[in-house]
Amino acid sequence: MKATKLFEHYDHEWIVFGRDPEKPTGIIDTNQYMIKARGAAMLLDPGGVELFAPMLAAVAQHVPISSIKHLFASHQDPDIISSLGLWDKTLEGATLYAPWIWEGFIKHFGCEAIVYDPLPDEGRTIRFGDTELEFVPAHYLHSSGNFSVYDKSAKILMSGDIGAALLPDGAPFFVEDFDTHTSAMTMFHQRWMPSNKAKAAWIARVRELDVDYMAPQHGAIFKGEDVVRFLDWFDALEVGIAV
Amino acid sequence: MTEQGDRFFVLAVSIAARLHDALDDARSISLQAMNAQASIARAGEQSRAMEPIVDYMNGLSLSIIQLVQDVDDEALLISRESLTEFRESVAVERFVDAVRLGQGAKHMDAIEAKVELLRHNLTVIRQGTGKKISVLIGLLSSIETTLLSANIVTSSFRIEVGKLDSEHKVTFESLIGAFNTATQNIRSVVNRCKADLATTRVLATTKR
Ligand SMILES: [Fe+2]
Ligand SMILES: [Fe+2]
Repeated sequence: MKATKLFEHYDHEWIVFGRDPEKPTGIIDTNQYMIKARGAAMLLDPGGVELFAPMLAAVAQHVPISSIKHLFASHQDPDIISSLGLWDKTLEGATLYAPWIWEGFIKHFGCEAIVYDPLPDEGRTIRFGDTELEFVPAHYLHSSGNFSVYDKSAKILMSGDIGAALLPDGAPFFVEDFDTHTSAMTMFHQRWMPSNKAKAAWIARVRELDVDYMAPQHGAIFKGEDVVRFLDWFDALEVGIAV
Repeated sequence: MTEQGDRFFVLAVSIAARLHDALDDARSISLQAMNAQASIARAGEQSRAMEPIVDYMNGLSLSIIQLVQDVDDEALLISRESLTEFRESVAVERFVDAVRLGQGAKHMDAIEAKVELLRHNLTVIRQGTGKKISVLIGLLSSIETTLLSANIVTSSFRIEVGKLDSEHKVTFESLIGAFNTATQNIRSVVNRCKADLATTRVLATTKR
């Protein structure tokens, strides 16, 4: 599992994990994120059960397991959180932030020791170290209960499946050429995202935020100007087309 | 699934399915015994000698029903525990992978300790399943013993029936026939369960 630091300011860090060379074939590649702040750590969309071992090994390079007290799941998909049952055996005193509508579903992955903190539809802001993390509603993008996470100090928006691209193995962690990158995103957004109205609401919310990096759960991370380019591109894209 | 978890799960499910038939047979014995009690009442004075035998036969059938139900409960517990064992052994495998992949990583100590703890838990679960299998074997043996008593009772019953006049003889002989068929069926189910258990145990210990 490869790891790259997205942001570092004193003890506040963002690390992205992905591009695992040992990933079994036939499962979609995913990006997992970790935020470190003041000695505590949070895993965002920690991934599927197949990636648990490489993730745990990779995380252990950076933080003691005992410091991971928070998990976030943007939605209920298996590539997002089917590893929960194993994290449940790993972590002590940890809390999972996830959409309230999926509580009874996500717990099927195994959630005994971890406390499920249900996020209300309108979202919520929590203090994490010296920063604030905002759970931004992203319902129907693509899941009917869905959140992005915005870190105010790091100016990073973890966007879950929004901005996802289906790239070949070993593709770079960052978007290099936005125009060619759109071809890897079009089908994903048109087919997995069901609602133009939901899309417009999310774009309006995100345009209010100051974002240096937009970090999706699949594909490459958008930097600076490419974030705005993505919002414009997504705005113009017709979604929910398979009817 | 692990070798042991897999085999015990399949075993428990197949035993539960087989016992379903055995339970039907045990219930039919009980029904035969009740019919016999009614026939004794009708036959009057000349069949009085058979009354305690038939009562005993009824008692036997009830204890067979109880034993079969106990076996069924035990099989259910075993199947549940096999699934837990499966989940735990998968977890151990994933953690062992993590330890292999994370060799040399800064914070591996806690994860290695976790593997040991999970391994220990798995051993405890396996021991628990082993104990439940022993209970199951004990229950199957009790059924066999009860069937043996049923055989003896049937022999005495046959002797008494021989003394009856031909009209009542026919009724009671058909009861004995039905009783014999039911006990034979249960015996063969129990034997098949025991054979499955023996094979599973041997495979589980050799493959572990
Ligand atoms: Fe998804
Ligand atoms: Fe996804």
